[in-house]
Amino acid sequence: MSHNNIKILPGATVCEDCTLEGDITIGGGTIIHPRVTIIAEGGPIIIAEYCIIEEYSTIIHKKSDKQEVPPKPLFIGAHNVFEVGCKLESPCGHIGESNVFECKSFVGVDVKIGSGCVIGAACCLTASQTLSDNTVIWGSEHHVREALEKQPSQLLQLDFLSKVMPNYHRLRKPNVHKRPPAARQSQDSSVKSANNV
Amino acid sequence: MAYLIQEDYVKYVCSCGQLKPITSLYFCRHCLKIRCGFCICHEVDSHYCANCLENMPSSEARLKKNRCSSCFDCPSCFHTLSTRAMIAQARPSAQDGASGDTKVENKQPKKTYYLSCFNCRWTSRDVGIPDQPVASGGWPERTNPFANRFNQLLDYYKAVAQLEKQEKLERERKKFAIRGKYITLTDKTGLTGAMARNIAGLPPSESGSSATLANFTPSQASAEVEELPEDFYTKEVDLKQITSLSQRLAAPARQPARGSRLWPLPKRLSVKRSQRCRACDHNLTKPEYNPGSIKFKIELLAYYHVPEVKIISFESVKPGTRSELLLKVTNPTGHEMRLRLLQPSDVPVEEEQPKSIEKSLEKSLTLEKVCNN
Ligand SMILES: [Zn+2]
Ligand SMILES: [Zn+2]
Ligand SMILES: [Zn+2]
Ligand SMILES: [Zn+2]
Repeated sequence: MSHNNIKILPGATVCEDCTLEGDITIGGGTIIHPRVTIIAEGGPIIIAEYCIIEEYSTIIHKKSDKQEVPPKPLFIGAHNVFEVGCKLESPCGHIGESNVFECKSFVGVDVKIGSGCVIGAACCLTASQTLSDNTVIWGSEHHVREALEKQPSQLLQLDFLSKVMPNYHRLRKPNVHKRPPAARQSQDSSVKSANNV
Repeated sequence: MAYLIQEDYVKYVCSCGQLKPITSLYFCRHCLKIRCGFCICHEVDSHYCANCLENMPSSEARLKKNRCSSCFDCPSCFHTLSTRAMIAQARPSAQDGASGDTKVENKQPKKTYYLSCFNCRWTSRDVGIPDQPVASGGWPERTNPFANRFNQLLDYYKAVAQLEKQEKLERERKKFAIRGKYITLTDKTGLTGAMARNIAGLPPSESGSSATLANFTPSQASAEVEELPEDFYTKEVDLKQITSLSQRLAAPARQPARGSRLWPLPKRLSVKRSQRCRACDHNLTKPEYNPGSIKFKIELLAYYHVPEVKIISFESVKPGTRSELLLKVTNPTGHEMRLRLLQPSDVPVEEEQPKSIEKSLEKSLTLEKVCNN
């Protein structure tokens, strides 16, 4: 996959100063801060709506030996938050919704993540495992807890960032003007700005 | 040479014989001796909450069991809980229509508050604590299942303390009577405290306390332990639901075994303390009263008076050869200072008079006897 094929849907805020390689689709309402690295070397990466990807975070869809043809995409659900400096080394397939990857956290290759999970600051998941919904991992000893409900969504923050970012950063322009049928309508219709911008 | 996170390479001998880095030493200006936390008096100056910085007099602190009434710690990770606001959904629209003044009600969205931990993301909703309409206070408290026994014990020990105090007074009175030097109120008027209370119409303090002493039933050790539930060995363990030992011990009254029984822990108060030299009773440190301030009124740290020794370079020691050790000694004062390097054999051995703890031990023994009788 030598050529870059980056699709930015309308409403997404993607800073120019970030590394995007491979086949990447960025959903509407998603904010990508400067200095973010997203590399789709093993297959396409699809990022759904209303994600926040903060500075110095890295998302890699790793190439693997037993790769299917055509390669399976890495689908990142809506409302995920990737905090500063976190690293996600593509668990194959699917990441749910409303997860939080806190600062400097690391998620290795064989980790499957459900919805509403929190990977705490500096927590490092390397062993192959599956996180069920609403799992919270925190602390240097990687305590595990189950939250009752999903993490509250960051709609206010998203709204704020999408207004402020254009004032201070050069942005990449949305290049897809029709919603592809694959991108699902997000269940949250409360943020109206996404479609209008 | 002391570091924040590294090992302390240069240690100083305190006058009590302990080896400490210079950062944890004090220097008494009146005895001209180095003192450390081990050999000085620690006195509590004031109680305060480290989160809301509220000052609390010690009597109130004791009443509230040394905990802040408005701040909480996370029962899961012990980080301070924060209050978060949530704008409630416009659910009660149907009710508003019935009551009439819909417009006023709708304009102000109702805010509700819950507690949340920024570290482990525990929230008060996780254990079913209802959201509160006000930001601070009003959180439901759980009663201590052992409150009754707790109060009994408290009364008992209060009575014991009172008895002890009275005995001490009595003894002192006798001592003075023998000396005949001082005249106390009792000597002058022939009144004891109890008699004075009687005349004034106050309830007799003595008889009440002796009654509590007599009625008190000590705890009984029992060999019978509750049986484990039948499925204890067969039931699958859900580690996410089971609390850790430290989580249980943080709530000693209940010691919840399951995560769903965790409850916000009222934050423990911190103290400001002043430190006093035991030999001359002068203050070594005295903090400012205001909890927000980290300054001291008196601050006799060794760092300001004792020369600081730094190791600049050293060679590894080999048998039979000389090795070089380069030290840097800094005089922190503006005055001339004389320095002498001693051979290990020349170091004078200082003797501390052994303090007797027998006295207090004796006292507690006699007290036990009194209670048994
Ligand atoms: Zn000492
Ligand atoms: Zn407080
Ligand atoms: Zn916590
Ligand atoms: Zn002194």
